[in-house]
Amino acid sequence: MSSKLLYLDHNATTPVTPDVRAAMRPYLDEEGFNPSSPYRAAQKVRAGIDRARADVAKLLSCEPEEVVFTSGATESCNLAIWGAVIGSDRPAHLITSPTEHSAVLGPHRSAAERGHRVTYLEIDRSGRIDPSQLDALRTPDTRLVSVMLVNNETGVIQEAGVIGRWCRANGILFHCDATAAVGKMPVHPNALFCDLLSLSGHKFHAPKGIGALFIRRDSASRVASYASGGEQEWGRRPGTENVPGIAGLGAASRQALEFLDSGGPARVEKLRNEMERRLREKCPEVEILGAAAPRVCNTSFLRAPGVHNDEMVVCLDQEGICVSTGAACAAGASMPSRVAQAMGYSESESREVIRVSLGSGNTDADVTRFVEAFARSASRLGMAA
Amino acid sequence: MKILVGLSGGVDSSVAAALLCEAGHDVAAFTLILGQSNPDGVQRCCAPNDLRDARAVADRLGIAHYVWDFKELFRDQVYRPFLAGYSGGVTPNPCGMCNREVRFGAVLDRVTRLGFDALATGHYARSENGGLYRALDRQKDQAYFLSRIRREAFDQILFPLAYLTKSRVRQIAADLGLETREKPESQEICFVSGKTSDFLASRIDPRPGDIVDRAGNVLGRHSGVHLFTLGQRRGIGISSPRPLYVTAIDAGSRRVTVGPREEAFLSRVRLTNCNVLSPEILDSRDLALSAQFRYHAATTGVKLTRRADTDIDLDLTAPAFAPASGQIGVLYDGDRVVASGLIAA
Repeated sequence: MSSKLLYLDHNATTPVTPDVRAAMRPYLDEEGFNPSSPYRAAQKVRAGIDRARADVAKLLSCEPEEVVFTSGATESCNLAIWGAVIGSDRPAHLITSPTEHSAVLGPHRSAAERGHRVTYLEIDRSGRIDPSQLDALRTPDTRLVSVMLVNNETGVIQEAGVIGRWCRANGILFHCDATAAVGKMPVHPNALFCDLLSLSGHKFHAPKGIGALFIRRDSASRVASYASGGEQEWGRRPGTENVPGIAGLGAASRQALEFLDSGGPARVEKLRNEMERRLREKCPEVEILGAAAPRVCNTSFLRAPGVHNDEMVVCLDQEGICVSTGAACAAGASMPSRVAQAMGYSESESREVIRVSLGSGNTDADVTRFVEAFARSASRLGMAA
Repeated sequence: MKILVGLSGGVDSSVAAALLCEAGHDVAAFTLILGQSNPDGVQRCCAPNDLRDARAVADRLGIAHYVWDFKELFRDQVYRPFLAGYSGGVTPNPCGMCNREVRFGAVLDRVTRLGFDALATGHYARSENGGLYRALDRQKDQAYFLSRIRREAFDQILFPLAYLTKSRVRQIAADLGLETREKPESQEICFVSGKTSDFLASRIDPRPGDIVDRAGNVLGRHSGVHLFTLGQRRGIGISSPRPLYVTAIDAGSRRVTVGPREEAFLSRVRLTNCNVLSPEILDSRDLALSAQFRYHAATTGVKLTRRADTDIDLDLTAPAFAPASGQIGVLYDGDRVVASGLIAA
């Protein structure tokens, strides 16, 4: 094993920063009270939650009351989708895309098993959804459209605002999974005409186990509460709050805002583009999936023809470089990327993709090291010319 | 050496990995996922528990551990041929197919591409001088199942348990505090839970036929040749003063021949699809070789006649009980595996 670890898998998760850790610490130590308790000491904890909610709301340009803390994006997506589905006794029609994360596809599959109808949008070769498909798919029972803002594998940005506007005009709820976008680009649910928007803290330097669901104030009555229990989070997410996580998410949101306001995304994008330029120069055979579409600043979805991604990952891991295959099961075995397949790639081509996702801490030297290791590995593993 | 070791989650492969680490090699590990993702039967291999145990051992040893999905290849090269074989009236050996095509086929190719010098597993056998030998622990010896592996592969295969007994392996696992030290033996076919006949009956459509004696007299009916193996005594369903054994299966006419035990002995056997591991020995005809026709069976002396390139006819010095077509026949020169073939119908 050579040199120090090079982490290029920020779409999987990100490290907790010192500021975030510092914001969490009091609630793990001396401020460990239940925020719902009546005494003075607990009131300070409640105030901490309020501050964090305001920080998240500021990042999303929405009202604090529109932010519900959850355990992460998977829970947010479930609350959003089931909240829309169980709002009426009639079977619902749902529209989503095949490139959604399993946090969105899973609830849709379950809904279909329970008698609701699900339609999947077409994806083009660049990974984009043409919103004009929606008109033909609409039925009187269409209750929800769920489309992600940024794809977690390709980084491709969907025209969520166009889809949201269409939904609003047609009286259909719009849920946007913004997990792969928040912290890397401005995400304003109201500007995107979202009724519901999901995010996860650990994708932008908060810890795992905290996320949020935006529920638009004027749409709240059309979204049923899925879980039942206590009054926390307006009954939408009952249970004693994860206070350290919430404080961490608040701090991460402040930090994300600073990053966005100081031109962070442009810096990361420049580095990503430079990496791709050098990669193309060294390995002209490499294909960058989704490159024809607008993409989030940090993500590269690379296909080395003829090279199985399991093997590329091991080669890079042997050099201390962390990247991911497109998709993996819980055990860690790679699967053909569903996203690549939806874009029209064959099953075997979909086993040739790896995802590189940069973070704000990555440098030009990191990118050089990666490109060299990738080129070396690709030639050893027999990349087809 | 840079070595990749396969961890199944059992005690044998755990100890194999530990011994390689102790010897100072640069070791990384992998676990294969081979079972059907949408199983039409409970599977005992590739279970989440085994994966967890493999992970725990790798973590304990401080080595990398990769999980590789070879389901498709396993389905095409092992599972489907297994069912097809039974439908065709032969008794396939899935472990032999898996070792040749998957574990020491596609996986070994991957190990080479990744720049490792060797592939190691926890099998009981010896890989030496570019060849395959039986393990010191004859009770555990797995050379029979490994004999279908291509000859070139043995240059890159390591069996660290070659000279160890099972009880010694468990002792080492206990001394090292490995999580898998108490795990029970895995047995039979990894993707079959319960009885093989039940497994086959639920996957292959019944195609009834006659049960006959050696003279061709019809004794009864059966619901498919896939439910029979040469030498089988149970489940024939015909009452007789003497126990009856399956002595022949003809998939074409769907006819299953039964008879008393002595009729199930053969003194000539033809091996097809031979895999020669030691051409030098096979070519020196004056050597006395011995043959084995099922796992754990005693060996018997043979005189051989080579026919076409991949067929060998064997004259046995003592008749062997029910060599089942489709199973592996192994030729040994002492401990060394000289060749293996599939027993012809």
